[in-house]
Amino acid sequence: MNLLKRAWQYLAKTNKKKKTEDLAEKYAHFQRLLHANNQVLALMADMEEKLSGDYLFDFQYIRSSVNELCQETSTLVASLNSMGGWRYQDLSQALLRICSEVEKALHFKREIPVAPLVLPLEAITLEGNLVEVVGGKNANLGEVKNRVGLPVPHGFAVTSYAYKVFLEHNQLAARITELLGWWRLEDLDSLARVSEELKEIVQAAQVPPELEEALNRAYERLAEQEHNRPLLAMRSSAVGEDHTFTFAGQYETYLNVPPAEMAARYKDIVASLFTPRALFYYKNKGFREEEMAMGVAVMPMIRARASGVLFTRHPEMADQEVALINAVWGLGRYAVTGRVNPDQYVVPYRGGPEVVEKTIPAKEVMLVNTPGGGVAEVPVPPEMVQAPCLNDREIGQLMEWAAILEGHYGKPQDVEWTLDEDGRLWLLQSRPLQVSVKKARAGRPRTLKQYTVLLDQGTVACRGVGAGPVVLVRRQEDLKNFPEGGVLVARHTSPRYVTVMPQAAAIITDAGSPTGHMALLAREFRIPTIVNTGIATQVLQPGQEVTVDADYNNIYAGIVPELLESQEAKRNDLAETPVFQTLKEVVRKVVPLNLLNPQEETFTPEHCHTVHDIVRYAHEMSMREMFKLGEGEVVNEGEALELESNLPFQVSILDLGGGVKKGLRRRVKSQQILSLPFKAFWEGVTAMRWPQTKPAGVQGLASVFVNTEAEVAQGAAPYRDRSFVILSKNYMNFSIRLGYHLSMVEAYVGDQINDNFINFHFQGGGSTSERRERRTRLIADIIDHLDLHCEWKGDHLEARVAKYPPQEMAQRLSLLGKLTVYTKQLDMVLFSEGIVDWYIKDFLQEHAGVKN
Amino acid sequence: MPDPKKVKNLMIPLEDYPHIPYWFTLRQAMAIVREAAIKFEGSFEPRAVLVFDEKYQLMGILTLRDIIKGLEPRFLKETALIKADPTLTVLMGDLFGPNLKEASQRPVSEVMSPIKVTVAATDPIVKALYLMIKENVGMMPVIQDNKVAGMIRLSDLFQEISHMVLGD
Repeated sequence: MNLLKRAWQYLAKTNKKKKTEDLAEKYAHFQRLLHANNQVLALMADMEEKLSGDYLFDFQYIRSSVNELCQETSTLVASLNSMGGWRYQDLSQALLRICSEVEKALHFKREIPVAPLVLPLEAITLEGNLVEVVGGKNANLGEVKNRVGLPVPHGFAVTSYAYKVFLEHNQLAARITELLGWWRLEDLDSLARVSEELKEIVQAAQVPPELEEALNRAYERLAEQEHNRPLLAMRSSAVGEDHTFTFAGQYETYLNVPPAEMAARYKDIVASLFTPRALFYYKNKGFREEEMAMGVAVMPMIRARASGVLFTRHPEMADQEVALINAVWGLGRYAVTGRVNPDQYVVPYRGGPEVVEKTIPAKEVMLVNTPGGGVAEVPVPPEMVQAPCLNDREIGQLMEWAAILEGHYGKPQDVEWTLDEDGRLWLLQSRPLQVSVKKARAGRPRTLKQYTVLLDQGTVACRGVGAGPVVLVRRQEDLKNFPEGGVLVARHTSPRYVTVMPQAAAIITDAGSPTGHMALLAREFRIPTIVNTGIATQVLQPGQEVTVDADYNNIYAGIVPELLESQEAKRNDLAETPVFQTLKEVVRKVVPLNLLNPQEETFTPEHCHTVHDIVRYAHEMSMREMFKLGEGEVVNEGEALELESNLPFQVSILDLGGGVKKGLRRRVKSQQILSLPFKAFWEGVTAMRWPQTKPAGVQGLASVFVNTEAEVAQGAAPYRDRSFVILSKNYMNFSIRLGYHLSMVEAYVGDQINDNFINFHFQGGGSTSERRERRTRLIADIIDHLDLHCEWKGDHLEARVAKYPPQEMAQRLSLLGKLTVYTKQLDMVLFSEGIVDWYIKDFLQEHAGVKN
Repeated sequence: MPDPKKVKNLMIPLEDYPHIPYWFTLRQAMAIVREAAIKFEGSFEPRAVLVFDEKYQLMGILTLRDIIKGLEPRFLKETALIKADPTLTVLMGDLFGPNLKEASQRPVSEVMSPIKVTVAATDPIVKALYLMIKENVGMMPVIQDNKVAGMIRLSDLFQEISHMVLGD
């Protein structure tokens, strides 16, 4: 009998010891999971912020973000699996599925379109998929020749399809992909090796007979047009080049090519896709190897007297009405390579030849065609060395081009031109010019004195410039016939205006906030918007033409062309670029949260559609695992305790040791709390006003309250679940669900000041994103007063403070406790920025004892 | 008369309307009223704050009257005496005295008015008018698809009637 008892005691003891070890291990996984959780949330917030359009980023950013995201998320899922005895295999499956979808979005592949091998320039414009068919340079040349009507020589384009045929004929595609896979941006040695090998295999390949035939036929046609048998200029026209991105000078150009060498030079140009420089540039810009495709522009060689470059907008003086022309004698290559110091003409758009600012250096050498093919450097005849390459008539003509091109493209252009021996100017290339937008803005005067300012007050909600007739919107009906290009003027902001945003030139309101919903939408549509002007509806007359300068908060009478033109430069934004589109696609697969309510049947891995869903699910399950809730497991004594309080706030406690004074029962009174951080926090929580029972006789309307909120919060019943806290004497990790938000407070408070820290993490809400964001701002502001270092994005906030003495840490925890209660469902209330400020003050005065 | 106006044409959308959870204090409610007056100046002036519960269901309306009554309960308690002679209000002395601060900490649920009646968004405005007069309320919630979509107020309806009577 005695023996039996002792055996039992022994068993119980070892069992208990094992339990403690298990718990410690589980807790380590849990910590890992929380860390990954925070990382993922921060990554998501960052990616979303990049989509606002105010940031520059490249494919590298997306790739590394996605990599990190997938890595952290698998850590998270793995940690959950470790905690739960690998019971979450289906979540791992879901993660694989979602990550592969994200990868797919990341590796969206552009196919080379099927097209004729060769197209005459006359048949080419920028329309349709022609850019992908003939490459950027060809497409722009065709556009200028056929739709702008400037003098472009005859010529033809070798298409990207020809490139594909070339690869297929020689069975190169797989080999190229394989070779390209060998090198990484970090490894420049391998880059050189790979480049060499690639060039070799291209050189060793054979131009397919049908392509050679097509080239010859195109040449014969060209000779007919030219009435002679010209030598040729062959320029690279890579897909992507000169269009969304500039690959200026990355690829080969061959001048003065005899027709018999066309096929050979074609291979040379294709090979130049793979020069180390071009490869590096390509990868650095975030293009994918399989997107590399080369077209070639073929034109008769022009006997150039002088050549050069025209920037339709001086890149250093983008705010002024000034173009820049460079010129050298002979062929233009020396103007761009810097071999010769070129003439510089800084030419204002307005005014005669006398205002041209000329810099004419000595030009000792020039590049010229050599008879029979090729080019050579020769000395410039002495009488021409110091002479300007261009006369006033020619400058005037280039300026006419500049105006026409800017008018057509709506953005500044970088033009290569040549002047032939008969004094005729030819355009050889036109591509978008990157002009620094910031500079343009900074260089402009705040107020243009020569125009009447009608209104100069208010708050800018979306930068930009727009002009058009004033349209007063008083009621919804006024939106129905809103004219294209009208300036919407209204008393207050309304998200309903979104219906006319695509055609509005600008929006001005008397009241409203730049952080309001309409302002968000305005930014999404990039509509210049000024809110809170106070008097716009009184000052501005319907039908009156105005120019809205939402960069400097001025509204001018009439149309101010200077402002509008500088605006055009800004529209060439990232939004069209493949890199932006890709991020958008990726974010769509990452950020939206579909799993809202843990009580729903659809709260399962199968219903996870985004990374956010996975994270949400894993976080929820980790809590349950930690407390072994659900799954029908018995909660043993010594594991989870219940905190007793008269608050509508259920808290489960897991004591790692020394966190609570053990009683006999599983219920713990607040007096039994020993954990220093939790004691302080709980004091704050209980000091606040809590929702008492609802007054008798008052029935809630059986309708969800605000429809917009309802949509956001659909299925999101407030968390009726319990909150969980893990405690020890000096530590707490408190996951709080209150109302519709989640917050997490982790703290260590002990005598070693260096060990002390508080991490505070807050996310969510049941209200509109706008109001949730306001609440986050409120919390951030208050936390700032508590000297916590805080970062927040959207409705997600992280704060940290460390290394204060215990009593100061405790004080902060107590305030965080108060704040947690104070902000319960506060987001609903925050309908304006003003009220946010009031509530910040209210909390600081009433609860934090801050006077002022 | 072509197509009589519906309630939804005149209502104020709910997102524009200030609201507050029922456990918040009068003090907090007053801050909202004051802020709303600034924010909506000119477009409309909310003379009430909507009160909701944890599940975002509408519980009641807090009017300016409710707030003032809540701050000074003697208005309610001493009505018999004051009723007899309103000049006797002087007897109440310093109206909003030292108790004011304390009273401003009362939860709004103690003083709000319950929702007496609602109207559907698609109802004609005549029905809204009838209900308001019958129930003696100045405003009521508008229901659409089982949700509260907005608030309709007597003053907006009045404006509509004065259009009819006076022309533009």
